[in-house]
Amino acid sequence: MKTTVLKFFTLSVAIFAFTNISFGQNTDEATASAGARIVTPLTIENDEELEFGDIISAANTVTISPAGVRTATNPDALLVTASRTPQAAEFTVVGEAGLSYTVVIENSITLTGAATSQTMTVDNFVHNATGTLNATTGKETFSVGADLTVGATQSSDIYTGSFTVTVTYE
Amino acid sequence: MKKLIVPIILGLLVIGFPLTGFAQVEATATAELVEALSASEEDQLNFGKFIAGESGGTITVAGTAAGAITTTGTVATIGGGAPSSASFDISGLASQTVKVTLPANGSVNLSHSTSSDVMNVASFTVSASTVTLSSTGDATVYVGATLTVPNSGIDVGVYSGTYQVKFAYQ
Repeated sequence: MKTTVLKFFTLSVAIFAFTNISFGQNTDEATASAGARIVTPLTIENDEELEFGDIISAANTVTISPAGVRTATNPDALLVTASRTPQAAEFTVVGEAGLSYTVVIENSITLTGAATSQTMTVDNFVHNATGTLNATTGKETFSVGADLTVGATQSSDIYTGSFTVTVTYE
Repeated sequence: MKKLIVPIILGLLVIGFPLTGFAQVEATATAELVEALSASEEDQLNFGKFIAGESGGTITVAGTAAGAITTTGTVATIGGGAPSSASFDISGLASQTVKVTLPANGSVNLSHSTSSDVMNVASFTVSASTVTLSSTGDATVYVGATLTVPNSGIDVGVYSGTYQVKFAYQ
């Protein structure tokens, strides 16, 4: 009985010894530099809606430029009213001062008539962002225009739709 | 055990932060399509019955609802013939201003029903050169004019002609 017990102890000691050697290898030291830059999260807000204004029903392509100027292939059908002034959409991006970003807008959206459920297509979105946030304020405001296609037999109605603008750090 | 727990907690914290390298916003696009203006002639312009007299003259129908008749020269009205100013019903976008454009002088002649004699109609007048459509998009305007009767040598009979009045959104 005694002999058996002694052998067991010996084996245990040996295992601990190996473990110590393995720890010993970790004591070497080296210095590396680690760096991180925490940047302000990007945010975007919609300040102004895209408004094509009043248009008389007739086949037409109506364009709002980022500067807010309305033109049309059939300019006679453009109607100026006090209640509905054409304008470009406006957005404000806020993030880290001086950083660059990209703007992505949907290719095409559909406007739907409130009363008739008829549709019109808006496409060719154009923006005037420089893509660089202000070096001091970290802000940029830009505008978005687009083309509206009016059908020859389009019903009179108020048409609305929405589009998504995505900004991403470059 | 403590060493194991710490990395797990850090991992959860990192995942808990939202992705902020990009930002999105939805904007609205709107357009109002307006029905084209329409106008219909409710009452015809009618100079009534008259006698030319020796040297002729003019007969004027006022551009008012009443359409009062006045004459010059040797022209004299006689009973019957239902003299009347013209009335036009306009319909379009509610509360919108519509501009009325009358025929130019010299462009409108009335022709005898059988002979080749003509009489000129000029100096068109309208009850309102710009009119604001009602809340239901309606308005009525009255048009008058002056008929020049050459002299007694002109054929007696019925003279008729057409003229154009233009209505346009302003």
